Amino acid sequence: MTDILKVTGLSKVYPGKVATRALTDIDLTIQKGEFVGVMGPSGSGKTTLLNMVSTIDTPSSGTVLINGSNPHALKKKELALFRRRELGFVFQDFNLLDTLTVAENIVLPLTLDKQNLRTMESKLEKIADRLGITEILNKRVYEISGGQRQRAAIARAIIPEPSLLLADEPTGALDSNSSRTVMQTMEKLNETDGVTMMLVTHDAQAASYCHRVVFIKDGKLSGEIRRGDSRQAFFQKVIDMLSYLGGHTHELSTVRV
Amino acid sequence: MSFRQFAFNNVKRNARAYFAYFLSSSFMVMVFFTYALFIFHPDIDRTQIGSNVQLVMQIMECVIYIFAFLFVLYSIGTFLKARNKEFGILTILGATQGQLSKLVFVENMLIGTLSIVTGVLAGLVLSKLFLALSARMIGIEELGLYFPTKALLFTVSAFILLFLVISAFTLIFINRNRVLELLMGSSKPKKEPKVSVLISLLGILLLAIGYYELDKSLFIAAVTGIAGTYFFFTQITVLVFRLLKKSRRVTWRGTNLIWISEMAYKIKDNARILFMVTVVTAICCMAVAFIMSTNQRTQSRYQEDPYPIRVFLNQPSQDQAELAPIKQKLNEEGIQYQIFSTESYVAQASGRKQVVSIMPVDSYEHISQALGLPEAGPLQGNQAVLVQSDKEAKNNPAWGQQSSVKLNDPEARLQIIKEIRTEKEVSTVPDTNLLIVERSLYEQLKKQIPETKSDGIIYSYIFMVPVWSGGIAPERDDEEYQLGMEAIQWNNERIKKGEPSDMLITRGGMYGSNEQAVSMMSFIGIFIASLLSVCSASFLYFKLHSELRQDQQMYTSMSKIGLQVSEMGKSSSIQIAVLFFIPIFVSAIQTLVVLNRVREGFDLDDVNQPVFMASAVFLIVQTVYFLLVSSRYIQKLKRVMV
Repeated sequence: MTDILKVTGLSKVYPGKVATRALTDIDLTIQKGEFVGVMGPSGSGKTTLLNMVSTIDTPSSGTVLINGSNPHALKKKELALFRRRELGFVFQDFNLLDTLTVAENIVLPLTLDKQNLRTMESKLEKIADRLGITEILNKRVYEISGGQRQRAAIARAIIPEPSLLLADEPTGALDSNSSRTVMQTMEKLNETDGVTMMLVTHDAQAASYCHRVVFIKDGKLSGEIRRGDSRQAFFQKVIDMLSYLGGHTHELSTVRV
Repeated sequence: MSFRQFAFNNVKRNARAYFAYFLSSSFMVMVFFTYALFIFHPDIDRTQIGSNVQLVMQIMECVIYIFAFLFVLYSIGTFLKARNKEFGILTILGATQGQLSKLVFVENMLIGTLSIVTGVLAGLVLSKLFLALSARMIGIEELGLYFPTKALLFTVSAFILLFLVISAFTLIFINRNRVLELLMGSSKPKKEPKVSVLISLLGILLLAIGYYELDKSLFIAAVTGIAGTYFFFTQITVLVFRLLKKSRRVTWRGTNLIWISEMAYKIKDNARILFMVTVVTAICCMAVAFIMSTNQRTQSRYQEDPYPIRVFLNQPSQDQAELAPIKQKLNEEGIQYQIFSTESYVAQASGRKQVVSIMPVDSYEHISQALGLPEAGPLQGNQAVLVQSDKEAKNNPAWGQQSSVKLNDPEARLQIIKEIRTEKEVSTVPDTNLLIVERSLYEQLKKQIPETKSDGIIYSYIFMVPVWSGGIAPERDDEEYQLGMEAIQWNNERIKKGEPSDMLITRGGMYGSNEQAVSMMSFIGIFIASLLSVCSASFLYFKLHSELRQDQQMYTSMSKIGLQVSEMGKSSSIQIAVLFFIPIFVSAIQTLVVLNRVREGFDLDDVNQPVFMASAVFLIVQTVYFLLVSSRYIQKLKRVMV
């Protein structure tokens, strides 16, 4: 199996009057087709790690290799292209453009690459069908529900067929039902299309859809658990691990299945 | 921190947003003040032209004031909208409506006072220059520098009143909004505006009425034209973007998707701003092009006029007494001249607007000898010779050799057997075509002229002055110019005294008075045009600034999913360019249409070239604004790109 993401000895220090060490010596490998969760309490460094992987922030030391290449060695202009082609993003607040219809939002990365209209249309049709959002394609973003928005955002993220899909708290702004459909969608994409995914979340419920979950505390890796057959049992393991790590209860999902 | 300090800090920290607004307000105060300086100048009404200028400037003062009012009202409205969230937070923190109103009021008055002070100071510094420049352009002796107490008081009180009234107005704006709406601010998604076929048709109808009314009532034309332009923008732009969005081939390509939908989305606001800037630019463009073509016409009128001095009498018996003072003046100045006289009557040809002069062949002989023109040749019965210049011939295509002309009062039918083309306008009575007939026919027709039309019989006495060649228009200190102006004044004085005055036309005087009017118009017009141009650019600047935060948010998230900086630059410069350049093009077209339509009414030769030149100047100025504004704006957006 090939490594899609390989993070070695990654550290990040934010300089300032009092230098803040956000990440210390992180090693993380994600293989092709894997669905990996990253969890940890607030301030643990999850988002910093995601920002390094997503090339939005640069590491102080250590390397990030995505699909074998180091994006931090690229120039700003090439970096944008790299993000556009190699990475897919799903955000907590969707980041869909209000001014576009759902369909337009989804094809946006392809139009920026000036792809053929017919290709774009066929890809759009296929993905919309897969994610069950065909009906809302011509609606505006403010006319659809949160869950539909997040599925549209996922469609936008995977339409350029990226090597790695990065999801930052995708269920953070959703109710429990929408959360479930969104996570099921992601799981299905992972299983049927083999999309490699990295999910950063607070939500144990969401994390329980992953193959394995990596825990970060105070900027260091502090454990990893793998999923067996039962998602329900995995969910319980995640909860236990979080309490063990000393996460506060209010950071846990209030959703119970 | 006292309340006043809070308001002061708000202004200080929003300085960048307020800066363009502050500059344009100061500029407006400055222009207003300099005009007031002129109006209240103690020496201004000593001369005729000076008091005319005073009158025009008083009107312009009103125009500036009205425009300043609208400008300030609109700008403050935009600012308040951008700060809705801030007001929401203050409300939640427990600020009462009264306190909010007071805050806005104090802020407005702060900026207002500041711009009044800077505007007046700048005006004072420039007053010497302004007075010298104005005197030179209008052609009066230089006005002395004075301490303008009256102008100062007038300007300051006018603008304090303006800011007070507008601040009171804005209180109504913010009081209406609810806290929740305030907190949502401008982030609430707006719905796409609807297109109404009925309103579009109404817009077209209004434009058509405006076009039709142009040569009848300028007021109706202006009102309907402006209203039509408004609907044109609010409806047509919506339609254009609708159509653009329908075509995936166009829209789904590169950054088109971003800017087209952004524009379509914000179209209602954009349409309004486009409309306003278009109207302002069109007015400036029309004024400048009109002045330029009037100037051209003044020059060509001089060149087309072959006669330096003309005196028209109804009774040939008094000629010696009437001509004596002119002859005396010319002799005093030592100017050589010859006199000849012609006789003609003015008649209406049926089916034509323009009148014709009927002249006996012996009178024409005087002209042809003096100007070196071909002879009319022998004529019989109702035969006539048409004498016209190339330009007149262009306006008079129906008449030529062998055509027959029917005259009214007395009724007669003339047969044109020959046409003499001339370079200059040879007819002694201005703005008439000349028809030469046999003496006997002339006498016969003259007898039949009804009593009421007897003043149509004109005896023209023409002074030819060889040193005044008439080739190039004279300078202000040339003899022909100065004597011409003197003659006008002399004639005016005679009319004032109630003495019988005959028509006296001097080529130099005619040119001189037109030339001075043009100078005066350009002097005032250039100030007004530059004022409006600066203000419209700052309108656009506010418009952009109020959307900066929203744009920044959007581009940050787009940048995360891989939008390049260059693509962001392209998408936003297209949006800014649309705002800056569409008004220029639309107003150029409007100016072209309007001036071509009124061309004949104002007796202008060619309006196309002046319109193109004026539009080109505005285009260049606008391009400079565009480059300044868009580079700053994109710089600010670049900062948020990851």
